[in-house]
Amino acid sequence: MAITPSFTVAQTAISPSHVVLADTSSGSDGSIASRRIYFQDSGGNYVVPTGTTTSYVAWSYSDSTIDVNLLLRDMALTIIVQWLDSGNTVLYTLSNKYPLSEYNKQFFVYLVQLQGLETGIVNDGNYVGNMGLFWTNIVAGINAVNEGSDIAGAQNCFDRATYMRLRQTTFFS
Amino acid sequence: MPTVYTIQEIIDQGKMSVSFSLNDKSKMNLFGGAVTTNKSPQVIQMVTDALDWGYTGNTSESYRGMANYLVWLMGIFGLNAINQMSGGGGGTVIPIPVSSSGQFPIVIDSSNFSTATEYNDTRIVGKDLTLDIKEIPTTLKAGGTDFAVYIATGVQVLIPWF
Repeated sequence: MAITPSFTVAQTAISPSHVVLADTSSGSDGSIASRRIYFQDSGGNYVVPTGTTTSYVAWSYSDSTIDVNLLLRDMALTIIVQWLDSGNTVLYTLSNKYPLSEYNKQFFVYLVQLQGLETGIVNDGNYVGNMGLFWTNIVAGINAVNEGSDIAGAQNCFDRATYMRLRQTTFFS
Repeated sequence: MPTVYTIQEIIDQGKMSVSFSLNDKSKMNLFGGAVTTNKSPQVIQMVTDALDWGYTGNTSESYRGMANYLVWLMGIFGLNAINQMSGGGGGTVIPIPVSSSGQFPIVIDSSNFSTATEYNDTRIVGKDLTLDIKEIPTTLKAGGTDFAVYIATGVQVLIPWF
């Protein structure tokens, strides 16, 4: 028997550094012994958790999900999952591109919540303009990946939003 | 024979073209932003979402005029989008909901403190807090030792003059 490889990617709002993968493959293959995950950024570099010495993250085949503490900021990544046999021969590979944008999304939520404390701030043209630019960069980055698999363009959008997020007093006060 | 795109295809092109427009605009310097004000990425995003929300609720050709407006706004970025999308889309990230959601904002003043420095509230115990203080023009993260520390029943402010 063979499997039809499939996986999902999720990210938590409360801990945006964590990326959760779930193996949703169908079928079975008794020769599969392990899995590997590669996280590749728009520059072709492999992103791994702190302390990892390989370019991949090992994913035990006995675990259907894995929680990887990976991100320091929003990133558009190509995520590659490999299913290997006991000799580390790759049997199946599946990759896709994902916009991981919870850092900036949650900051946007936080900013809108802050507006509730200071409702008059929406009359400040600079504030509203920057909010619009921040929001547009997040949405455009997500859409660039979802619609066209463009992780390079998406990363530029995410980086601009991150720049604004890290300078709250400059852009949003 | 020119290609006539469906309204749904134009919406998808709108979604894709905003990143091209943003990235192109970020490369511009003097006068860059000014000459394209009426075709700014924010306007493309706004019209795209409006068309999407309208057309999703009522798939009518009556939105053709609005779609044509979006085509005009996208300009060359729309052509980029058509080309980019020919390679297919990527995956969607599933947001994981928090099982115990926070409550925000909680507005308090000195009358809410149980002592000169302690604020006790079961809603904040065990949560990550961001304190927004009117008199201090910045946002401080609780949990460190510079401003406040968690206690079993709430937070304790460490700054004597607070």
